[in-house]
Order: sequence, then structure tokens, then C-alpha cells
Amino acid sequence: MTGVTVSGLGVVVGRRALLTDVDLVVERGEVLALVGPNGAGKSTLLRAIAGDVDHTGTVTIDGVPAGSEPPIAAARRRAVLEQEHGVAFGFRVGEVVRMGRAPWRGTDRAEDDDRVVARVLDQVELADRIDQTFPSLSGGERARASFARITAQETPVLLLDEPTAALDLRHQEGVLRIARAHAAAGGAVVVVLHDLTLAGAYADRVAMLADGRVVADGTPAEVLTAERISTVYRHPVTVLPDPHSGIPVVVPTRQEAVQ
Amino acid sequence: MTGQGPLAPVPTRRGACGAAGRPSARGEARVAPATLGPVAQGVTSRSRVGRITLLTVGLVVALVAATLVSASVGQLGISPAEVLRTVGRSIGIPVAGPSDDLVAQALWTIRFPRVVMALVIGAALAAAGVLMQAVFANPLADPGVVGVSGGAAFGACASIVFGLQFAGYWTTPLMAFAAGLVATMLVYGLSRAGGRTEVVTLLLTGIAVNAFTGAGLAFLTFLGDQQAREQIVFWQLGSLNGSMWDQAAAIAPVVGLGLAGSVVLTRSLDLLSLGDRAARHVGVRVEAVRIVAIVVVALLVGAAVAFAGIIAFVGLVVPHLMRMLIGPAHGPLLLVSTLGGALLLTIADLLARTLVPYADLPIGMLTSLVGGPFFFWLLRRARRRSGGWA
Repeated sequence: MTGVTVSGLGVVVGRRALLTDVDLVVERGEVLALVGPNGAGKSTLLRAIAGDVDHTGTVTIDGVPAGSEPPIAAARRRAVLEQEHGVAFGFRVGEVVRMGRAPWRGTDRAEDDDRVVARVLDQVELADRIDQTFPSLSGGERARASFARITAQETPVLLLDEPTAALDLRHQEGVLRIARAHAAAGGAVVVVLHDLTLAGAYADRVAMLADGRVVADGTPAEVLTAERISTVYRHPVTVLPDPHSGIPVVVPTRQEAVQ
Repeated sequence: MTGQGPLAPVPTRRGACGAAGRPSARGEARVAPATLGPVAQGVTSRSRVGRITLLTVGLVVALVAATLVSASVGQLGISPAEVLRTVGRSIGIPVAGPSDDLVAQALWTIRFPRVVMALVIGAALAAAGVLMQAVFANPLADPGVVGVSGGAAFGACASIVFGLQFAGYWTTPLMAFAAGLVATMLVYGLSRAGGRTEVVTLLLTGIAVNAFTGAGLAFLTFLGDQQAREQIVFWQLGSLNGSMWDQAAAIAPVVGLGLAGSVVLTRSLDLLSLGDRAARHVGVRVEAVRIVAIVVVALLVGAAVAFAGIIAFVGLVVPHLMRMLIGPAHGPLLLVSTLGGALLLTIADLLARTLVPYADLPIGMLTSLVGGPFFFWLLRRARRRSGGWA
């Protein structure tokens, strides 16, 4: 079953084309990583899938065109983690995560609210912060609490914009493991990542964007080649196989680094 | 089956972030998903529920007491017991004790309408403050920023200066109400672009429209004769002097409607604090919520200023103080702020009448005089505690 389809997508803001003729398919059970240099259009693509920007071409989630249904129906289909996770006023962590359950209010699934909130907070190791106010958390903890909020939404499709940006090594791995498990349970995940090694390790497929176009789309081994990365990112890299798993590890060449 | 939803993303296991539980700060064992009890209860924040109940009861008791005191204190001293006896007799309860027609008349024609006006206007201003702060996701937002107060002042002053009489005695309040609503709609309409409003655009448009109404007000003050100027000044200072039952009867239904509308909005307002886009992502029709909230604010503030003039700071201070006490969830916040606003204005009006013998101080001056420093103190305190807004 198809999770997300994007075909002939174009986004123009002002006179600038942010995305041009983008085609993508994300099946259920799949994690797709969006990679590319700054300004390549990764976040714009994610927003287009979320139904937040005007676009040409078609974007569908579960066969339904993005932005065509009421917010509440869309909120039961896909959850979106944005790059910024501010919360106005001093809501407690538990209250913020519970806001992720809002789409299910008045349905049978609302009965699960307590259980789900407890489970997602436990997953991101914030169970003991449940009564702390959100603004008093550290940056990384806020990012994890926001991630917990969108997983609490229990939607088949997850759209994650740099979920690992503020996180330490352990929690980067943890968050992407949760995303993987989501796909394994039948969900579809689109995740914007800057760390190419993380993308290679956790994504089924990697789509590389440059200047608003998809320049490569395939398995990590197909897309993450030293030649392609060096060209697209305009910086020389070496790609080595991980000694344990064989997964590609991307190492930037550092000529001026201290020996 | 009450298990997980159709799509349980992660098989239940101890923290997907790794098997080894991080030692918690308090040295407790981390709660495994198998024993959800304590965590699940924690989600409901029992301590907050207790505080909300306590505060609500406290405010109701204080409100009843303040109402009684306000009704008994004045140029004609009446004991609280006498006040209760008079009320009891009027609603048909046979009460023992002396009956005094003069007292009953003073209470029913002068004191009671004034007390009721204070209650209704205080509640309206505080509720409007809660809505504004939620819509702008900013604790400093005040009903004034969308132009409702400036517009209302302009409307009221225009009717005074030009001697408009189309609705007789109701002309000035009606003009205040209508102009407040028009100014609000103008601010909202001008700041809308592509079906959306950005909060910053809205605030800046509000400033522009407020500057315009301010200029209009200055021009009207310049145009008016001495008597009109005096009226303008007093309207802007705010006063409950001369409150009457038909005034209360006119604004109470409007305020009731506004409060009912506010209650409907509270859940969406909670979600708005995630930011516009994130709120939409969890199913909120952000634009619709904002339009309804702003119309409700215009109704509440329009009704509040129609007869009493401008009474500042209630909408700013009360929600802020209540949020410090019970947290930001908008359902309980609206309840206690409404009660708190009514209480504050009842006390302020009592002081306005009694602070200086034989003088009725402008209540708007009083609320600003006390509210300003108090607000400053609140801010300093909040900053020390949490390094930012409460």
C-alpha cells in the first residue's frame, strides 16, 4: 500500500522555484531519507507533502491529495515534526505530548490517550520529566518531547524535518530506531537528515536533492557514492563500509585537519 | 481490546532509545511500559487539578464577600446583614428583622446595578485578555492591540462631539461598540494575505490602526467644545458611576454570549500554543479559530467599554496572574480569570467609591495605577524563577 506519492511537484515562492518536477513514492513499511545541501528544498518538499504550501503537480497521502481535506482528517493521516519546536506558555511536558492526541478526541482511540502518552515519553526517555514545564527543558529534551508528541498522534505517515538536529549520539540513534520501528509496523516515514551516515544506516531509500530537483533516488548504497556526494555537496568525501555492518560511512576529506 | 491503535509504531519494549535505562535524577527506577499506572496518573497532573479547585472555591468565596462589602459600604452605611435581608425579602424569603424602605431603595437603584456592572465588565475584560494572549501566543497581548479599545473610544467620542442622538440615550455606547467592532475587523482584514494572517503583521497593523484612531481622537478633542472635552476625558478615564439596571441588562447578554464562545474555543487555544503550523498539523482550523476569537474579543470589550469607558490592565494582569497560579491550560484559565476579573473590578470599584470621601475616582485610573507596578513586579518575579515569561 502506498504511503506518499509525489509527481511532477513544483513549488514557486515569489519568482524563485524552490522545487521543480519532483517525483517520489514512499511505500508503507518504508523509511525514505531526504538529503542534500542547505537550500536544496528538503524542508519545502516535506511541507508540500504535509499540505502546507501551494504547489503544482500532485502530492497524495494514502491516495488523498495533500491539503484537500479538513485539517482534522489530515491530522489522522500524517504527523509532522518541524525544525522548530517552541511552545508558548509553560505547558508541562505531559500536556504538550497529550496535544498530539488531539486528532483522536471524541473517537474510540481517545481511550488510549494515557497509555500512548506514557509509552511515547518512555520511548524518548522523558518519562520522569512529565510534570516539568516544556520551556524549562534543554534544547535536546525539547526536541525529544516534540518527537514524542508527533508519535503520540499515531498516524500511518510520519514527516520528520531534521529530528536528530539537537540530539546527542545516543538519542539520534534512538529516535531513528523509533522511526524504523514505525515503518516496520506498517507506517511510512519521510525524514530530512543532514548526517549521511545516519541516513545510510536507517533509511530503506535515500533521495538526494540539489537546487530543488531530485538528483538521485535509490538504496543508500546506490545513492551515497563518494563521487555523487562530492559533486552535490561540493566537498570531497570518502565512503567506507562500516566494519560491523557494511553500511556506508561518509567521511568528509579534511586536508587541513590537525594530524 | 483496549490495546494500542491500529498502527502501533513500536513494539512494546523498554525504551527504544536503548536497553539500559538512564539513571533518573531522582534516583528512581524508570517505569517500564508494563507498569503504566503511576505514569498514566501523572499525565493528568493531579497537583494542578487540586490547585484549580482550590483557587476556584477561593475566588467564589472572595467574590461573594467582596460583593457584600461593596454593597454595604458607601455614603449610606448599610450592614452586610441588612444587604442580605434586603435581597432575601426581594426574592420572597420571609426574613425577620426591621425593614427600611430607604435602604432597600438605595441598594436596588444605586448599589446593586453598580456591583453587577463591575462583575460583568471585570469578567468580560479578563476573558478577552485570555483569548487575546492565546491567539497571539504571547502573554503581553492585550485587547487593545487589535484596535478594539481605540476604535471604541473613537466611536464614543465622535457621538459626543457631533452630538449624535439617533438612538437617544443608547447612542454613545452603541457607537463605541460598533466602532470597536469595525476597527477590529479592519485590523484583521488589512493583515490578512492569502487567506492567512501572520501574528507580527496583525500586531503591526494594530499599531497602525491604533495610531490612526489616536489621531482621530485628538482631532475630535480639538473640535469639541468644553463640555464635550470633559465628557471625552471622563469616558477615557473609565467609571462605573451612575450604573443602571438597563445598562447591565444591555451588556450582560452580550458578555454571556462572548463567554460561551470563549468556552467553546479553549481546547483549540491550547493547541495554538504549539504555533500556527503545528496546530494545523494536529487538526486545528487555525484561521477559523482566530477569526472567531477576535470577534468574541470585540464583543466582550465592546460591551465592557460601552457604558463604563476604558478600564485598562484587567485583561492583562488577571490572566497573567492566574496562569502563574494554575498553569496555562485555557479551560481552567478562562474559568478562574473570569472570576478573578470580576473580583478585581468589584474591589477596584469599591476603592474608587470609598478611597476619597465624597469623590468617585475614575476606576480606569485606579486599575492602571495599581496594575502597572503590580504587573512589573509579576514580570520580575517570573523572570527570576524561569528565566522568561511564565
